[in-house]
Amino acid sequence: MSIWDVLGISETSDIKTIKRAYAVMLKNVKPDDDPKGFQQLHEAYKSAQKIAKYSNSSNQINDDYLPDQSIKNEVNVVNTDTTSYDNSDNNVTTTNQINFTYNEEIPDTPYTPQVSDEQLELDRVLSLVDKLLLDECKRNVIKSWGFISASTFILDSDFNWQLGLSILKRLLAIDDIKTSTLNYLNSLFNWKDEEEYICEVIEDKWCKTLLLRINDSKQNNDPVLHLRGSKSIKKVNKIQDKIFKQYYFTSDARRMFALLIDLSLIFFTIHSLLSIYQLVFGGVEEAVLKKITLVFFVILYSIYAWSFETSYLQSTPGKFLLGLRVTDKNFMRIHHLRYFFRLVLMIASSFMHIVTVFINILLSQRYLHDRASGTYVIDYRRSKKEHEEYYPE
Amino acid sequence: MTILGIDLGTTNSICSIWTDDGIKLIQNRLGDILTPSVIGLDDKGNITVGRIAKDRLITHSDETVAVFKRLMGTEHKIKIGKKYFTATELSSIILRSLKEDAENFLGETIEEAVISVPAYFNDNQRHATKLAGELAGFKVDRLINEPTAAAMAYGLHDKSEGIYLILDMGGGTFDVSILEFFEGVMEVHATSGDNFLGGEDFVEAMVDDLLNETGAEKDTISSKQLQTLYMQMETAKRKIGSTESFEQTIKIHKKQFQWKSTKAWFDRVSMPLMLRVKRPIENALRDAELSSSEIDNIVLVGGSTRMGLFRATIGKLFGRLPLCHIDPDTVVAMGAAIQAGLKDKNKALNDIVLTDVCPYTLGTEINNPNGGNEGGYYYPIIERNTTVPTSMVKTVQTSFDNQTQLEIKIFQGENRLVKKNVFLGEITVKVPKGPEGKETVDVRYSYDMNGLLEVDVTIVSTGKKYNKLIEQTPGALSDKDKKASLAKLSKIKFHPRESEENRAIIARGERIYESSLNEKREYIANILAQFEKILDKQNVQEIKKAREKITIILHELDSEEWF
Repeated sequence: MSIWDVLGISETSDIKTIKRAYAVMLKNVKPDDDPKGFQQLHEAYKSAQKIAKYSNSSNQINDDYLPDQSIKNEVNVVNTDTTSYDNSDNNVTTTNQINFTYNEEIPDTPYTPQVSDEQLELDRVLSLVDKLLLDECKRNVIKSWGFISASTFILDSDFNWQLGLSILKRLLAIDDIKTSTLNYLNSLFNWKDEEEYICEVIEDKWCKTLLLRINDSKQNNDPVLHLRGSKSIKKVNKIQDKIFKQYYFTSDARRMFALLIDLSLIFFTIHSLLSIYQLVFGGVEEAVLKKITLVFFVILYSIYAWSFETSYLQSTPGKFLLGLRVTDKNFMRIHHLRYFFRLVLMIASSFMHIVTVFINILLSQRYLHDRASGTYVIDYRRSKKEHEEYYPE
Repeated sequence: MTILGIDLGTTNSICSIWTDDGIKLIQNRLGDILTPSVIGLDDKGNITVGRIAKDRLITHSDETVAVFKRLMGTEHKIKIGKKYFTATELSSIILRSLKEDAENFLGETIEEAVISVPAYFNDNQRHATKLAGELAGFKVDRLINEPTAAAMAYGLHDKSEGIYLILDMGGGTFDVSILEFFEGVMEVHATSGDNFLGGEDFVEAMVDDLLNETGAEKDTISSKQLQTLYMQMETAKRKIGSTESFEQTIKIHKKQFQWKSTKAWFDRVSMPLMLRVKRPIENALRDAELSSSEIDNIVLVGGSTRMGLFRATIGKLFGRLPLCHIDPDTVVAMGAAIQAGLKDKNKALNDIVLTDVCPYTLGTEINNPNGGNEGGYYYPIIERNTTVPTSMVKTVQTSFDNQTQLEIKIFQGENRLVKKNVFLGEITVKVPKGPEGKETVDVRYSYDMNGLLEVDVTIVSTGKKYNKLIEQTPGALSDKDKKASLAKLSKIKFHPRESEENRAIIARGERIYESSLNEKREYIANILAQFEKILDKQNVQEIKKAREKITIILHELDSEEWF
């Protein structure tokens, strides 16, 4: 089926006919009801329009060879440029249209009058810049640069580019330009966006250094800055764990160190409590004291680990310090029941002393109690860092 | 069943409906069309929305929040009172308040809504908006782009065919859309924009420059003074349009002085922002393959396009006067109502078909196309400004020998490096082993009218298919979070409707009291005390009379223009 069949018309270069045919057909294949049919129709419509435009324009190119046509063309262009430049004219009704689109016709138009207008303005503004740059007190006062934004041609792309480049060249010769001044000028000339190209054009080794100082407010748009009211805002860094690119386990040494921190924390607490008890009441035998310590140790560690590792933190203080986290197989917070298993298994396996340590080292990074209870201890900090490097917010 | 058309704006929100007699704008509980998008807590800890909250932004800025639309789709939480809310939750509070107003005004329950979003909102922000609607108890089948909505209102109003360039500058966003209207077809050619350019930025720039000149640091100023300053600059911004200069008494720390805002000053401060208006227009024209001379009408939409400077700049750029004969504040809501009517298959609108485009390019990640095994390069599949619904297929291949799986990652954005684009999701597919480049995979992206993306992956050699619907973007709420949000929102208490008008008067009085001095201050305090006494008596007639009287008095005393 050709595009003309889809549109229900015979081949034509009349854009109006194509549009009408499209409109008629569209009533039958509405985008909501028939997405596939719509896509086909729309593609046919676009191609038909392109073909029509092409054949029309190739006709026109032929016409352009006629001398009278091109003269007419020139007259038209001159007409739009007849208004003389007026600095104070800020009126909407000004006919001084600025070509800001990339108009392909520009090369063959006699643009001499407009350029001279712009050139005059460029010279005028640059002379003011030179004067200002000589004034050490005023050149870093943003207010004194106001004449640039007041220039009539500032919105014109070419003028803006030329002026920006000329000013930047002049700034390179001055060594006490403040960053705030640079930031302001950048907001007018957008240097930062064309950084690499500008440095190529200017060919000054300090150019890059100068541009590096600029802080482009446009590029780091922090939405929070614009909020009005409210005392505080917090960013919940809730990257869903599932979307981490990759998970990393941690080294045995690191896990042991985390455990050591936790254990010494608990040991210190129990020991100091018992010492106080001994001091105040006294009379407890050494052997009994050892047993009490052990029992307390197991109980306290269980409560300690349980409450921390099933909490929002998902890690005991020791693990937290080293950036580790205890998770289930979906890398989420562990359910209490699962944690109970994990705890029982851990305590049970710890009674086998050396054997457990040996097996655990052999199991490499996922220990007996981890495997048996279906839990994981991951290097959360590293996983998150890698993720953020890969998918920066 | 009526469908509500809602313009959920950065500064103001409006809702309207399509009736058989055309568009009807809905008044809120205070009788206004515009409801300021401001949320606050009153003295009893109830939530207030709209004008009362806006007045209290000055007097109780810690318990009030405004300009939060820019935080849509992010994970920031904003504190009001003792609770933290996301921007989505705050928007849903606004929507709920609008819903109540509309139901009250129309005398029927409303379950469905069409909500407008800036054309340049990305996927995450669109999902957040949709979710806000759902949290407020709406069924939201359709989001409409704000400039498209505005164009629909103009197209229908003027009934003239042609190509429209729509420039929509609201409180926080700037959108450009090129739209053609012919034979009952509204075709969007291209969309572009800047999500960080709006009326509030002009006020921000004015405040920054003022502080810079007085040598005061922004962080050290009390929030009350800062909010007052924002309000005063807003007034100045509006006044400068009609006068050359405008004088105000400004108070910073303990220093008090006269500040004269002149047109020249405003122009200088705003020029960097005006320069940013140009680029999206150029981009939209280039994408639509049109030159500025082919545009038949330039339409201005959004409150910020009232600025004299904005109009002058557009006039200079195009050498002609733009159209703005429909109120720029309400035109988007009107368009949303038309879309609601279309959705409802309203007979009067039966002949109109709207086609829209996707604002951003959608693509996947590939290795460096110039060789090497370095990943992280962007491979566009659906180019920006393609008419939707659309479905595109591109083929990718394995990148090393004996590769067993491919990760198809889905991104949205324009940068050639994926890390600078927005990540939307991924599919992992298994492929048979083979030499590098032997196995090929077809990746099909289908993008529907609501901006929902579906990805189909087919392994060419085995014919195995994988599918993924991108509904839950990373950072969006899971079902569990959604339930928690709903529970939280159902717990909050709204300020009782009946006393709303009285509260609005007191809030306004307090705000004027705050920014006034000496005798004027005493006078206002007196009036407010009298009014509160009358309120205590609870005589309906008397209260009504007093309310009318005091409204006139306050209107005369109010030197600010910021509604």
